[in-house]
Amino acid sequence: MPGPWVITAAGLISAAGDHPDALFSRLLEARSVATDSSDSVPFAAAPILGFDPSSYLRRKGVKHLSRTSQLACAAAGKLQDDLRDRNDTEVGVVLGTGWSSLDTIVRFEHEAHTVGPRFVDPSLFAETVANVPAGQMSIFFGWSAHNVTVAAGPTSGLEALLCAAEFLDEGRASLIVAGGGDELNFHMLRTLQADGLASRSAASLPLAPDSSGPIGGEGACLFALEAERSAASRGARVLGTLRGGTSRPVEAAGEPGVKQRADLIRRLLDDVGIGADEVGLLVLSANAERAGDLREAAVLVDVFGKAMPPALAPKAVLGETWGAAGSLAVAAALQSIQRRVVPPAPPPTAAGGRELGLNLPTEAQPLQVDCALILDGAGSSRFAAVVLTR
Amino acid sequence: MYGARPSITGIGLVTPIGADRQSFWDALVQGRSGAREIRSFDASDLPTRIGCEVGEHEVPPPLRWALLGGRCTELAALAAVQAVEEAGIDVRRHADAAVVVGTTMGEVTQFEQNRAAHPDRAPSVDDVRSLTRRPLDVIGRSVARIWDLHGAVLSVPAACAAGAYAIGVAASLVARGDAPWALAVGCEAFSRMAFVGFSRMRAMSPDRCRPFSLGRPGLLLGEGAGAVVVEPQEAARARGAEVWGHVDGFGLSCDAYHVTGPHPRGAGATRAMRDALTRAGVGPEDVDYVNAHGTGTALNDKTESLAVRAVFGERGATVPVSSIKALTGHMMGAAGAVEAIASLLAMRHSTIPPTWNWEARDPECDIDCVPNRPREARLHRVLSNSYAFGGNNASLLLTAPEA
Repeated sequence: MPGPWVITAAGLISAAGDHPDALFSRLLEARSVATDSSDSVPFAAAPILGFDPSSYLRRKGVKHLSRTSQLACAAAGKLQDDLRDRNDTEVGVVLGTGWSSLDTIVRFEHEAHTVGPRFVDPSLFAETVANVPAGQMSIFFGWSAHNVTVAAGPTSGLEALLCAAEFLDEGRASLIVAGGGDELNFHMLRTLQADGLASRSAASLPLAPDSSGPIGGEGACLFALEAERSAASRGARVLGTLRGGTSRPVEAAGEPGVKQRADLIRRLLDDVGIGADEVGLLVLSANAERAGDLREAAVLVDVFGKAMPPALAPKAVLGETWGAAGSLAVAAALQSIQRRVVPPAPPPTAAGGRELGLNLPTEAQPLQVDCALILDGAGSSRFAAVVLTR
Repeated sequence: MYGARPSITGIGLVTPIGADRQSFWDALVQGRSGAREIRSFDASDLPTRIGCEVGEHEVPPPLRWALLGGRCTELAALAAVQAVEEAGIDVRRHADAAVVVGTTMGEVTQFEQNRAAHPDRAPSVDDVRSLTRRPLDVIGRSVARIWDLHGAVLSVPAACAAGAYAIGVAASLVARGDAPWALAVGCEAFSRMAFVGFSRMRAMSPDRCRPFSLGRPGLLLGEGAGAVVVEPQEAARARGAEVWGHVDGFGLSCDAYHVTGPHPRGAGATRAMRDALTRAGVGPEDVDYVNAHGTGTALNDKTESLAVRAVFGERGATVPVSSIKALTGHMMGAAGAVEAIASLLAMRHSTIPPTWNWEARDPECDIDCVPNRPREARLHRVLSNSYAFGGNNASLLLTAPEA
């Protein structure tokens, strides 16, 4: 993906706030947003409490959209001011999602039985379709160069950024709104908890030896990605540069995938011309799924050895936000690079990480090198990573 | 496209009118429709009880072992195996291939079957598990597992344009040199939800699908899968592979207008076709045939006709445009891939598959839709159009091997 491609705006909706500053403030507090139950989800989870899409999107019909559509459109709305001088026909959309509108699928199917197929709400059907959240973004804001949805499980957010970079390289748009989003919903969370894939305790923390699984979260995070030249010509502020990335399935039978992932990181760093010693920040995908956390630590020890850069574990605060996770991690990294600060980790996460050879500070510390390696998919059969620089 | 020229060296399909390319092609030119009474679920309470189902299909045990999904994954895998076997690639030596899969509903069949057992009860953990264990990317991961492919695996759920997106993205990966070869699959399994949804949108025909015909009542739904192997032309040439055609243009656009309805003047469809032509470095005068999205709904066919007229100008009324959906039904996520394969077959056989079931000229579809009779023609370049919910538009510019 030749470039360089730069990020010139970020918009997000998260349980830690609806602005990158708010997200970073919460990360600096090293305090999880998870609750044991809430009005919206009667389980341990990290929902966006009080999310009201109509406060972000002033148009009729917003409440009929799926929550994923609402989150994605609300996050996209945050970019509007930064894109005001752009020709909408030259703006493309790439949205990553792991689950898309799973809850709407369940509701539509149930309603089709309970009220009957002749009376079920047809607008609900449209919202069951996976590419509709991205389509709604284009409809709301007029971005018409192209509209693409990518689904890559928990690595969808990073996959979307990589796909957007390729599309820019192909000249498909002059600017692409790219990132990821996923909703939290009752049906999904109940099922994941029943299957042991999500924790029943809001206290479960990544890398902590007593972690009991990921805490389900949600959110959407989108970026304006464009060519460095394009940003310079319009005098846009550059938040960071996307230097490169990789995304692969890693489910070789019978092996934990440590070597495969480590080799992918080495190849990525080699491709972008950055030595392991030049990486100043690792943004982990550790999410309290123990096997995945251990694997990620082993991969990083394999690559960085004793010269382990400081690491940030955003899922210790936000929970596992699936399709949004990668892009929220990028938002955290951009903030960290701009402020030259590595936020601390909650003490159990920092201690657990230290035992595994990782370097998670217990207090905010200065960032020495303006280069971040962002990882996702540790606990899954997919692996993705991107490199960001100042 | 730029860089390497992406060539298609293997095709595979499983459709309601044939599960191999010869029977599929024969049905296209003989007008054998796949429409029949729905068997895969109880449609007694639906206004439309006709659809285009794939017949019984066998998934051999070694293949079944690799698959993590359900019926949609099976259809995808069967088509993919055909394509890879035909391409004759030494997969063990070139396992770093990419897999790109497009689908609309993904794996919802098992969920629907579970729910059918107790439809009045609220969805249970067991019901929902069939969705959480089979997320959208399960099809691509499954297809990659068949050969232990370890390149990129992308899922592009672009609804009814997904099959075309899959081929276009696969071609881009190959053109850029990001994959030595790529397998693109569009797939869809019958879903009661889709039937209910399109019925409630009043988009379904009660009997036949009649694209571009006056008084057309709507679409019929179908299912199936189409798969193609894409590799650089030079690589195909070096190993003496048979080339079906080249993917010279992959055009995209978004209507940014309405979530289910097309732009009234076909602006997005026009732009996608022009984008494909520009990327291929050819003009509308170089296109010999347009394989239309042509769903048979009043709005789609009207706006696609407007778009064809806008792109082709004076030739707009005479360039041959046909839709195969009268026979296959709308295979949603599979449609774009299967229709691209139909376009390749049309070039191979120098024959345009007609728009069957056409009855009378609609002044709002002022195009030559090749009604009811195959037409012989030398075809060097074909545009294959696909449109979808969310205003997603894709056009593929396919070129014959010798061109």
